Amino acid sequence: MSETKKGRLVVVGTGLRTTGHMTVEAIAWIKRADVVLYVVGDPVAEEMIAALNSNAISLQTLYSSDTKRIDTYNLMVDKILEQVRDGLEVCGVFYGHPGVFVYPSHEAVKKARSEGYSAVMLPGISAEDCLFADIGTDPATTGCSSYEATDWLFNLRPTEPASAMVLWQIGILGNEGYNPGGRYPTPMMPLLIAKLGQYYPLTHKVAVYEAAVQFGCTPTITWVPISGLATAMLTAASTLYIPPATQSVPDHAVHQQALAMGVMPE
Amino acid sequence: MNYDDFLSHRAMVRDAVRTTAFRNAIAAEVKEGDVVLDVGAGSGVLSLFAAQAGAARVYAVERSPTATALARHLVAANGLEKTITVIEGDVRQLQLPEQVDVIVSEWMGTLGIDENMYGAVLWARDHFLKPDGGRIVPVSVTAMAAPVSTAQRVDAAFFAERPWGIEMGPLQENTVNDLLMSRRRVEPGDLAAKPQALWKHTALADGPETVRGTTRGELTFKIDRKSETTALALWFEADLGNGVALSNAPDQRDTHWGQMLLPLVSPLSLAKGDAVHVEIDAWPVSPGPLMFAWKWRVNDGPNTQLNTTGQHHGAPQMQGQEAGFDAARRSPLSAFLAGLAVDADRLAGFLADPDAAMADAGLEGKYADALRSQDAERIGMALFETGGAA
Repeated sequence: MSETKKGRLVVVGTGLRTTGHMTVEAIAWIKRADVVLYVVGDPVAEEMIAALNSNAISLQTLYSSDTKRIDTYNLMVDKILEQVRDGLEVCGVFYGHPGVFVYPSHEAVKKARSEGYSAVMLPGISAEDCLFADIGTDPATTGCSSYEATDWLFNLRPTEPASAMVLWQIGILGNEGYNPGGRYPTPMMPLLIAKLGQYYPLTHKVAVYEAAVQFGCTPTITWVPISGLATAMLTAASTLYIPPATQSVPDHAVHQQALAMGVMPE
Repeated sequence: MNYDDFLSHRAMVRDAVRTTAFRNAIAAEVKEGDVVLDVGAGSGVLSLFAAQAGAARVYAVERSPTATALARHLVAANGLEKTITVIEGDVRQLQLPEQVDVIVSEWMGTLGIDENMYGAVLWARDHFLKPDGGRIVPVSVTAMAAPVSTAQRVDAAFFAERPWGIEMGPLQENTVNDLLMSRRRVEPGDLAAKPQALWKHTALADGPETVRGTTRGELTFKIDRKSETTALALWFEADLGNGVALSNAPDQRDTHWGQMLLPLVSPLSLAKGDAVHVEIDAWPVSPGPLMFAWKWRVNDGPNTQLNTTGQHHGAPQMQGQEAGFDAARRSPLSAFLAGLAVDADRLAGFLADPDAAMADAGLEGKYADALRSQDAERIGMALFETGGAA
């Protein structure tokens, strides 16, 4: 068994809104780390991190208008790894779930492991977790697929109208940048509507959803027909939730086989 | 700046560099039959240009009663009442009967966002601008910075010299924690290093959070001549669209803006080749201009000082690293919510009786009201506000 080097990385998330979404485990790791490196856009999270650990450094300052986003992310990874290589116990804190729509967190964990350091990522509360709670739907009932909207539009992803589907970042469809809460032109929306029309009636009601990111506030849920997406008010934080449009089709062949094997429940 | 007086509007209209640039940009951008919204219309001069350019309808929105009256007089004097509707009020409370093709706004302070007006433009964009094909003048505004050696520290030096035999040291400290604003001309020869872009704002792309949070800039300058550096000079370069530019840079024609100076307590003696690292935070305090905090580091040495605007009315000056850069911009509301985030008992107490929990924590006034409102935008603003009732 190979020996793990001194120096350790634990990546945690602040949840979508810090107050109420911080896990006890994340708080504990921030508290006990030798150094905390964080990327949060929220003053409550920043305040909390500063209160829990006096040796906390923001990586937000690495963003700059003349640096490519991927270069900034790689710089963040380097900064995190520098501290791990110094033999320190490092806590990386990211907004939301640290592993959902976050590149540098995954990359830092991979890199630290590849260099022989202990590295783990702890789950946080993501927008998807909020969506299931706020819309009141259980993905276990009919299943639920989840895609980034532009990715779904431009790729042949399996699409099953008898299951729910979530399309992320519908408000920045076709845009490369990302500004949470910002509004972008979405000239590709007619293409998305047309593609959805291949699977769903255009009258099918879908929810434009935005989780509440401020403590004590309510989420925004607007139901519109698919055809209404052309004029719906979308922001970069908008997510599209499409409930099932058809009944599930039983797989009769498997039913028959299960019956024949005598393993079919009553 | 106080906009509720004729003097400031007269100065802006008389600023030929500014006003001509906007006229040219609007003439190129506004097409026959366009609907135009003028945010923070002031005297209404941009609305008049839009009407001249062929706009079918122009909505001129202005908060200041004095400026609104002035705009109405000018619109009437030009016989454009049927084209231009002057509305007194905040654009955030506005109801418009239609979406607009073009938003025009002269929202810039001396370095761009410092007058805290850009948020109103983004709000107007998100609520009134046609999503496809809508245009905004200006297109983008870049804040520029350079260390300078100027006589602008003369106030601070004067107070340091015990004039009339009176100790005026406290006034010196206050002076350097204030922005030395407009109409203080920086000469191109005052620059101690090549100017650099501090941050850039692009009206069609920026999210509303751009102006809610802290705008942070960090630059390293290479000093290009031996100098006694006294301040960081700031100005803007605006792209008004269609090839029209507007800037109050030291090497451009004079404008009513002049340049902004973030002064040092004591001048720094710098040699050619020295590296000066500057960090600047600017954040909104509503209503009113942005607050600023800035610090300097030379050749990887310790932080030279930390200055914060708004510290000049009796509050102690923040000086040195121990004060904590971020402490300058903490809102009592973010501290309160951060406390709830890490303490389940406190959170349970708040859920049971929010008013009692806020009173126990000393959270009052606008911060408590924001939390009670359950309005995300209001809470978001309060999270970045400092001072006042805590």
